[in-house]
Amino acid sequence: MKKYIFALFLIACLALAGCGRQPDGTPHRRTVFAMDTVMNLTVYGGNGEAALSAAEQELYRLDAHLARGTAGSVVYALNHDGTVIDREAAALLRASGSVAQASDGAFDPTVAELLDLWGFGSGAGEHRVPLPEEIAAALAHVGEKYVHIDGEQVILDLPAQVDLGGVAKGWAGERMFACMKENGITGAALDLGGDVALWGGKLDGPWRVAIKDPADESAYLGVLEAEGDRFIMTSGVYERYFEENGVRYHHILDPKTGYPADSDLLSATVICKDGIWADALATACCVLGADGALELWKTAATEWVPFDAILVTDDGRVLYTCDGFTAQAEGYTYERVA
Amino acid sequence: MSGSPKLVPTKYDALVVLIVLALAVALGARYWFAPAREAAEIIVSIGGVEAERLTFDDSEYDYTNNGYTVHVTVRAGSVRVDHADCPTQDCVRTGAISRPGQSIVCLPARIILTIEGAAAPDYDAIAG
Ligand SMILES: [Zn+2]
Repeated sequence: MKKYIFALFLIACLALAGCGRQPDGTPHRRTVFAMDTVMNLTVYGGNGEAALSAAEQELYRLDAHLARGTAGSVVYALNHDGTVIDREAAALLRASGSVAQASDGAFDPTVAELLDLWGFGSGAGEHRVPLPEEIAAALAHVGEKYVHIDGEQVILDLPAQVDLGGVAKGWAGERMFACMKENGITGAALDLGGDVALWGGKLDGPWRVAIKDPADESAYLGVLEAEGDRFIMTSGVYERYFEENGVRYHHILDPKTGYPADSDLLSATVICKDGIWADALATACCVLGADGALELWKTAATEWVPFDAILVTDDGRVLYTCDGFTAQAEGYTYERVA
Repeated sequence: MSGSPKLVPTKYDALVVLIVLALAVALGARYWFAPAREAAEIIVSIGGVEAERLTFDDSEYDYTNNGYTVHVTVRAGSVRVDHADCPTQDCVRTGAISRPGQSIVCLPARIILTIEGAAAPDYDAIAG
């Protein structure tokens, strides 16, 4: 009898070896269409399907709650009535205000009217170069100072208009983490449409995140090895743009000039433990340019929220502030900034 | 010493050996022949669910979802959306793709075409 047991044991060993299973078990995956993008969620361990369903529902809720163009959203109400009582909107605008201060206005949540002028708003508006007087008129209502927050109440000095698109994905990532935690997920790679939220860990080493080459969307600059509970958010001039009379106009507007940021950065990837900051800082870095972004990197570490960055300049340099980044693309010079 | 039991192979022993061998061969075969089988393919995902896998043979396809139709052409190792009746036209503007990892997305139709290569990607996610 013993030898049969031994034989069965052998069979079991072979079968298991052949499966090539990851130590965390088979991941559960889901594709979600929300926030005008495609999101790919991959979760390990715990109650995978329940976590994904909770995450999906939460993304739909946030989409409806935060979209400026959707009647019934909290942002729509704020922009029309000038006041709302909403804990989420208050928290998001409070954090947005802090990033606006930290970046000296390079990020600003009140650029809604400017975005619409250029056709980069939430609706499928026509892209066009606005007249200088239109930009001047819109700029008069741009400023974090027009937003007042008292507890859960937000008061907006109309006609200033708020857009939470610059922090929505970062906040969505934070909310995804809550869904992961509630369902016992041990690790998750949450791709929120080019912005990545990493929850927990993998047993077979750190997370590996490929960073897109802003000059070639099918190539990668390199791979970043990152710990869990991190947000990796990218802003890039290549993401949305249009051309008029041979000039390219991208979607990252400078809240001070009202024009697409005249910056030497093609893209900025921010690695941060805070989702809202990661999201807003990526935009701020793009507006500030390489020097300004690195200055912000230094001051934020001591005065605000610490972060790391991978910056790609228009003269072919990749500046990165953290370990764990392995260069892959050719044609760039890579500089580790300390 | 002389009292030790005799180890005479029975037909059951042979059967067990055969089962073990068969399993080993089957698993080995799967391992060895898998890379050769998995050439690049185009995965068509509709509404977030994999609907079809296309090979890179010249052909044309129509996919309709969410009230929109995209016309897909596969030619000479690349795939593109020639025309679509979606309002944004981002899928058409993406042009032809040919490398593993590349994709064409039509958000209004919720249709994604992704090229999957022979090797599994060595990363968990793509940022940017
Ligand atoms: Zn389309």
